[in-house]
Amino acid sequence: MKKKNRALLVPFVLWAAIFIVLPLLMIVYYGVTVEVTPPYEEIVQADGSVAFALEDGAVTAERPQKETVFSLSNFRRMLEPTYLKLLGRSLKIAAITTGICLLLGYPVAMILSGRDFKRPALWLMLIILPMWMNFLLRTYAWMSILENSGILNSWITALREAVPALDAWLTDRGVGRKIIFLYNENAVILGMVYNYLSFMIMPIYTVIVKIDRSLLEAAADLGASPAQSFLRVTLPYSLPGVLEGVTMVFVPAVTTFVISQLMGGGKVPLIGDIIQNQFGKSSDWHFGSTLSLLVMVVVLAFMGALNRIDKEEAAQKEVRIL
Amino acid sequence: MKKLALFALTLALLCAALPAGAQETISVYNWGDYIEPQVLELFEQETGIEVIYETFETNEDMYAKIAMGGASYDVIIPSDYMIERMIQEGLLQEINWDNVPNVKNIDPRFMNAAYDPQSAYSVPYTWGTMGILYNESTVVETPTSWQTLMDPAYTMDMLMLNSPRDTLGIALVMCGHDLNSTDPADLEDAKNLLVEQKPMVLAYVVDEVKDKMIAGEASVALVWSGDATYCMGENDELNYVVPVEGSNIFYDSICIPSNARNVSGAEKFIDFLCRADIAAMNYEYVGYAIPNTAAIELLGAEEYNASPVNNPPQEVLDKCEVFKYLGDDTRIYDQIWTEIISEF
Repeated sequence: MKKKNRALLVPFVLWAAIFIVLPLLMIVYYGVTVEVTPPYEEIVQADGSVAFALEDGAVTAERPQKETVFSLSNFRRMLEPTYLKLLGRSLKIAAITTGICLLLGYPVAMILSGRDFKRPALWLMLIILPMWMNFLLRTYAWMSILENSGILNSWITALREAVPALDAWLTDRGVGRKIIFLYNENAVILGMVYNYLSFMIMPIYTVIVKIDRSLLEAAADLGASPAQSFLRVTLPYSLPGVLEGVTMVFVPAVTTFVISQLMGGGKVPLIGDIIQNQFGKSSDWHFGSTLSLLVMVVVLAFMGALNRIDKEEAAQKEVRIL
Repeated sequence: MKKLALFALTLALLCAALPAGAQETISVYNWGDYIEPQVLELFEQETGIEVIYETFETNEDMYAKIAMGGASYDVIIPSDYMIERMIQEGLLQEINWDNVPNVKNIDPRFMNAAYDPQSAYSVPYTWGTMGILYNESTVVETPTSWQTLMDPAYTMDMLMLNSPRDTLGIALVMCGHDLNSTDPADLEDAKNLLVEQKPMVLAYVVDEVKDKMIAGEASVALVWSGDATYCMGENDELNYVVPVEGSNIFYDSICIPSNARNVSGAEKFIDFLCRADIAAMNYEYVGYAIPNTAAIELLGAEEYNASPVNNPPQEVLDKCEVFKYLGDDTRIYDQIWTEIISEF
């Protein structure tokens, strides 16, 4: 029986080896190598044919080709202030996004899991439904709302025309005809919160809904106020959901590039945008891989820290129950 | 009934599969949305050669696929600097012009360009420029110079390209330097100019520039002429100019990779694309300026030349340059560009 079980593992191991381990190794390989073309000069020889003189004096008829060599120079480049600053900004924006998602998502999850809440399934459905649409479409929708020539601005213009007093008041305060909502950090954060909010709500909801109600009843029986029972029962028990939600929002937020390009208009580049450039326009897979490794390390460190909190909390919980 | 349907289906599949094995084929690798689909059908009808057609998004994608040896194509349509690179790396083969008689239709001023000085490896398919797309109803005055992009009148009212080579190239021209300069001092000038410009820029965009300019989001934008054609078709208030200081001119040209399997089929296809009526059909679908004199006559030269996209003044065109392949120096451009956009 045991042997049979092991045979069942084969497809997964193969899958993991080909699509997870191998690509990772390739990223490491690209990350620690660079492509260089040996410097050469084109010379026209006496018979009119073209030859190529290398720096060491050798002359070949073949044009020297680029070669891949081991080098850590991309790591040095990665540690330049430009890239560290970008990484810092990515972490900051991801942290703010995660914080806002938590502040918005936790109460929603609690309300949905409440006993007297009617038809939670329908509401959950309404939260998930937009996520069935491609996130690019949803982000484009936000762009057409917030653009200078967008829906919101056209409403504001209409309102100002209808209410001259408001128009005068706004003009006095130096508000231009068009309010620029897009193309800044706040717009990027809005785009991220909107796209990732449900990833916060779902894990918290699934955990809270499973909390044994008798615990809350017992807390109330023993004289705990609703606030106390929230702090002493609901919150600790929902922590695994919170941690999962935080991971599911923070990790994609650190690495995203589309939302920052679309909502920030390219003026709020994140580390993901720079990596994407390396694999696109700039065509430097080596540096792109080095930067990916940096982001991977940061994300791993972050998940390691969360894991620790989770374990410590679990240990404490056991103590509490005893 | 079900069995019969299954039988019919199998038979149909067999019929589809069998002749394909025997029939002559060529495989073509081109930009997305860059050919009139009917052209492929016509070619198949006329020659009996089946076309296996694939598309790419960027020159770099196409290059990676061919350089890694993962695929063999008979006809590809890369841009100028990429052709230069592929010639250097031995990835293209010389075209035997005896088998492509319709090359006579190509305007000589578009042949022998810097990326392929002897026109041995490529024949231009389309060409274009970089320029300023502007909204006639909101600009202060009709732009003629790149200095428009430094005019404070357009603060938060201009769009730039989020593309290191293109935007830095234009900045170099604005500073009076060579479009392909790799001199650190020149690039420093260009960088300073773009940093100074940054507070005036509404956004750095690529494909979004089209939607935004059509919607009237900004008054001026740095664009490729192909995008300009599209935008001008959607919004009558938009117009395009190639500034007097000169600009980048680019070509997408037809080539045969060195590992092509069906060279004679490829030559037939290239000849077909150079035929006047076919080039004219393609122009009407793709919208990029074409180098094909015979096709332009067929389309009506007057109407064709009326567009500022198709017909910038010759003296401006003389000042336009192609991007050269910069090899390892591409990295410097990327580095400087990252420094500019991450300035905050």
